[in-house]
Amino acid sequence: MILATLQLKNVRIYNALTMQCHPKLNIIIGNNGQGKTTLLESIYFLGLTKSHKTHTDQQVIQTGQEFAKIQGVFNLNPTPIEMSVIISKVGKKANYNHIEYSRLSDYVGQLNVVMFAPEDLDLIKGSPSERRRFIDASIGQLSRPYMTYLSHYKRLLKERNDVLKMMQKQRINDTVLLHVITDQMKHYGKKIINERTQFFHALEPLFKRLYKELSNEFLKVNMGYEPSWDGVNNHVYEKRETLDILTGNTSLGPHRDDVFFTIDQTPVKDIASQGQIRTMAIALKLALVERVLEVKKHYPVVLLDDVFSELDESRQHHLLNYLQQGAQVFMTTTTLAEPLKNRITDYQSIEIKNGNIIRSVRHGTTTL
Amino acid sequence: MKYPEALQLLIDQFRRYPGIGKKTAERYALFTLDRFQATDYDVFRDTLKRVQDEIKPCLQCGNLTDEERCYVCSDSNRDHSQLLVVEEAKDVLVIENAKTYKGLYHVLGGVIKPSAGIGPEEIRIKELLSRLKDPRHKEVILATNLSDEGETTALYIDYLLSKTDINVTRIAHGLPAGSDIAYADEITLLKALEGRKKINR
Repeated sequence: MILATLQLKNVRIYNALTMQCHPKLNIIIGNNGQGKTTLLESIYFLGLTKSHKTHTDQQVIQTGQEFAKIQGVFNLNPTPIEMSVIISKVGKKANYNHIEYSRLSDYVGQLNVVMFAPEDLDLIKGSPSERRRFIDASIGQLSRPYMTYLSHYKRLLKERNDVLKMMQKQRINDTVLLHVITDQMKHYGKKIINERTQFFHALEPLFKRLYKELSNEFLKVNMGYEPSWDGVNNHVYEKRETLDILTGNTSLGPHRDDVFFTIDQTPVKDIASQGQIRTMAIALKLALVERVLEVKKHYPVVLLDDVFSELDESRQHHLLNYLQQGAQVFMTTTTLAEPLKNRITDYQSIEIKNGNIIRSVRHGTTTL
Repeated sequence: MKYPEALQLLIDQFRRYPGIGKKTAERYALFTLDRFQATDYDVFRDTLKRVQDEIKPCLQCGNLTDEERCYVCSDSNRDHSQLLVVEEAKDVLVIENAKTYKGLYHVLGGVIKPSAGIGPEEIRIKELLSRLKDPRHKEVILATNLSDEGETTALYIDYLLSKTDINVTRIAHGLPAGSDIAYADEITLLKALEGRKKINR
């Protein structure tokens, strides 16, 4: 899907904005705090009905406003497709081609997006919850039932934890109830573990190849899924029961999963340099781009938030060349450096100041 | 605009009903004021009083009745071997309207939901167990909703009855009758596939 027009209303710094987009490369230029990232965040939101950075949707609503609206028109020949998400204080609504989706899990996946952001470093060295967020946002746009499994799992996990807390305080002693809810929760847990296993099985070789291409190193990097429970061994689950009652919390399951990254079999957190971590984060996101292409047979929209400033010139060029094979790219930068400018021909530069487009120039031959 | 106090209080009463918003409540209240004759007010008041006084749960199954036992429980022609377990009395009405089920009912009056403070003790599970001591009851059909809580409740009752010789069944999941497969959502389709069965020849 190629985004042709993006429209925003009451989204953070933007009162109202209409942006015409280039089908290949859009370079958004502006100083800090002018609203560059918000443009990328909006496109991400349009695809996944979530922000890549904030946990509460309402934060994207401009202060003092009741709602925010993000709308995109996609050029699908011969008929354009319109997508929109409205975020209000009571919830959000998503429309695809003028049809409202009552279940967001049915809407997500129609517009695929992959975001590269400075926060990606946390995917490698941050807490496991960051990596689970990445897992869910990634598989969520590739597999429709996944989000449904996840919401059932989360609901049942809460019920189980409430039962555990009641047992901890000795308000009830109903092991039958505990086992019934545990079995239900494990039913969805197994489905989630299966989906995650398959996803990482496909992602791992892509990641290894892409890291090598980006780094020119001969180090052996590896990554993979680290489930907290294998989804099969019920015995370990039962063994944890006493502990779970004691703490009033469920200690095993997909909500405790993680992803490991190693260099020469040592965890990256212990040895990797800042540069290596950055390259790994980019390789991980690129692997996701390739995975989307494999599953969906089309490229996702690629969003690069301030990623280039951190890379040296040859890597910048490599990354851009690579993405230009077919994906529509939106990237933000404070200045468009000469070396990069000289290497690209077909793009649009969009200058942003205080929530407004002050200049938009199309370079090259591509027309919409 | 500000309504006279009594009228505003009536609007507030209507607003307590599910699905009734401010505008509809206003319409109902103004309609009452506009169209009700003196006798209508009497009938309305008496009807409310009668509902309060006379309608209560059936002592046996929990269905709504104005006698000790509901009309299903007191009908000797019903099949006593089957007990159909539902969440609410309104579910009995729906199933009765279909006119295909000939057995008895058991209304739980809710579902197990620990996060809302509703455990097995809070719904009529104990009553179900004591009813099942009657040897005429041979099968329990679990017809709680297909939500996570409905499923928890069904599995819980199934577990309690697993050590008895009562036959426990669960209503089927899947596609609605007369529906088109092309329009089914993935989850329903998955459930329907999981629950597929052999065609009886």
